[in-house]
Amino acid sequence: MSQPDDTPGADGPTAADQPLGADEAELLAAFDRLRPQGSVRWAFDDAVRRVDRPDLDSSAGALPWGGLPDDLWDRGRSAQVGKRFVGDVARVLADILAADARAAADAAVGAVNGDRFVATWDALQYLSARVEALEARVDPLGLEAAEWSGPPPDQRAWADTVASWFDGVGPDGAAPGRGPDPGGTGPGSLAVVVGESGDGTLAAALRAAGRPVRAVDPRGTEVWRAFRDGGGPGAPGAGAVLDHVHRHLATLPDRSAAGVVLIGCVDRADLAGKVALVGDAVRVTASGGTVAVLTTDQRAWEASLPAPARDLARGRPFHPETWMLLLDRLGAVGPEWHRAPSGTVEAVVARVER
Amino acid sequence: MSGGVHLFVPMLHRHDAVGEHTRALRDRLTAAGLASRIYTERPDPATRAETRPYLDYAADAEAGDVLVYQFATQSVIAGWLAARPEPVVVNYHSVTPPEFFGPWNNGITRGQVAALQELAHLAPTAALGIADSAFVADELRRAGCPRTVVVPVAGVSDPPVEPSGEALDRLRARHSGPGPRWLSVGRLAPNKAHHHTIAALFVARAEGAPDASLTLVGSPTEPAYAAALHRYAAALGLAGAVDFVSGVSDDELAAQYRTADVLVMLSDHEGFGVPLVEAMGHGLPIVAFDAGAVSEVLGDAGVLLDRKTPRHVASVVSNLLADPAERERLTGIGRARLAALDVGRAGERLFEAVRTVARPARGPA
Repeated sequence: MSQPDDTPGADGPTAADQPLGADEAELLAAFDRLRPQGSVRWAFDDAVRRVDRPDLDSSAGALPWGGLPDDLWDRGRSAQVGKRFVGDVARVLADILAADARAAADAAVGAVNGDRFVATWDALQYLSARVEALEARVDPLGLEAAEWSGPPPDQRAWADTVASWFDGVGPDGAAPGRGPDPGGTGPGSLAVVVGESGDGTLAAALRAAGRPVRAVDPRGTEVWRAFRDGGGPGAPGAGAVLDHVHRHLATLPDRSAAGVVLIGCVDRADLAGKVALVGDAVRVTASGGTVAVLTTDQRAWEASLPAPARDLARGRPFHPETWMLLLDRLGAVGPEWHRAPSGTVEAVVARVER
Repeated sequence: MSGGVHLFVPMLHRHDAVGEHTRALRDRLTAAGLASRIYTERPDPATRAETRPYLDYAADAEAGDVLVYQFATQSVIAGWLAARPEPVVVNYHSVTPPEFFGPWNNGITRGQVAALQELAHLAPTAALGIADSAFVADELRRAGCPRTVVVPVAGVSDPPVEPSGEALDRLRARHSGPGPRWLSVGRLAPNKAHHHTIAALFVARAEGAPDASLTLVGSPTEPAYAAALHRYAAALGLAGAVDFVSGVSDDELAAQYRTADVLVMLSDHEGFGVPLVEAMGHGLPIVAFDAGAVSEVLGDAGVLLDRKTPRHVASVVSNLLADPAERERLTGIGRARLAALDVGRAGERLFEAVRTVARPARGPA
């Protein structure tokens, strides 16, 4: 049977007419981001296999040179065609060089000393084994999922304040106390990245203040909630991303955001992860923008977690003073500790100036 | 017919479509009094006693032999057979296009590229090509095979395996929730697109069927893809709603079909689609994406999707589950469709096809 019309009303648009929704596209894109292609592991495997099976990458072998074109003389008869002739000679030379280079590469593969080839192969395999051993030490049982056991930080205490951290970042790209950004790279019209966006409280507050927001969260239910709450440009659903914050920040260009609010992810990450998160947050923030780290009180964080999650977590929340140190070392300017008006989440806010 | 009909396959696995197909053909050949051995490139510990190394065939060869190659993956056997003097039948089960594996496993990708190169080398020399479906036969013809016939995959039980009461009870106890249970059967490989099924389940639960669940039955052929499926389900909050099952017995698989509410099959590439005929046999309604041989096998016995956006799939499945009369109509067509496909006689039809290649005895090769 053909697929049924799954929409109510005979005169309304049918599902078959409906394009892929932005929420569905994000849902599918989140899975694509799990593909290992391009990762260090994938690239290593690819390189090793090209050592192992060079034939599959040069199956055509050296291209035989076809000689000079038969119509070479005819091509050179007129000045007009002469330009083509010069171009053709260059092309033939390029073909010759390319063929020679390919032949040389194939010859090198064919003539390589067998023992050295095997030794190289063995060395790569041992290197791979050592990397795997190191990886296994990080998380030998694949318990990464334990990080999901804790409740997300309560964002409500900062809902009335978060937009003020971006005050003075004008639409013309001006930073507080500074003139317009002559390079046009100011953060005025750029989005604030909120990761993890959680229940959307902070993202909603920023939007209410007129800020474009990109809400990033690795939990599908949270991102779906953002889409469900609205659609269209500027609405909660616009700019919602289903991904880990560190991975998403790594994909953003330099100075491409008005600022970054980090919450939740910064508590769970280990030191290297925390440094990477803040380092990328500073990198993607345009001059005059803001980086804010919202960190959970350590004792409250520990109390909120079941014992396995607490024990297996790779990292734990840092004290705000430690965040001030890290932000300073990573290039942010004037980090300030904002005491929590209520609740257990503290804020450390710094500017980015270049 | 003189000589034997010997079967070659890279590895012989149990509970695997090509493996069961090969064994069904071997059994039919030996029942007809013909010598038939299975030769492999590599032994599977579970079937080692049934197979011999392919290089041993050179010493076993007899005049009048016909060699049948079960072609689905890359193997040195292909090149070796191309150089043999005996007539070779290529029983082609389709090579999954390499691009599906590219982002996941470059080793498998290269293997698939090599398999297609081997097919292009072997197919033109084949005495006969046997394909699981017209879709696969077309691939075989394009590879240069001069003569092809279509015979469905053998080894599919018709009538279907009757699940034991114990297996049924165990599954019903495990899935005692109030929501509908989707079933998807197939290796955890990228071309099977199980992630689309998980995404559709997520939307279904978010938009009207909060208790819906999914059982994925299939071995993790591509570990990176399988790991990503687990992570995806966890990220979507579906860790408790998606059940990954592998290594099931025939009894357990039959119980899965019998206790589920719908088979959802969103593969991007199917050379035949054994789960479709299994679901028809068990009277399970089917929603499937129109790819490869799916429409050819399914016919009108299920809902055929021309696209598989998550919301559309969720909507179609929900509508079908809410319409008992339509489900009854489709499963009725499924029973008739199963009879028309004649999968129960596939072994016999394979035997007849292979017999057309047999020739009178001649001197030793």
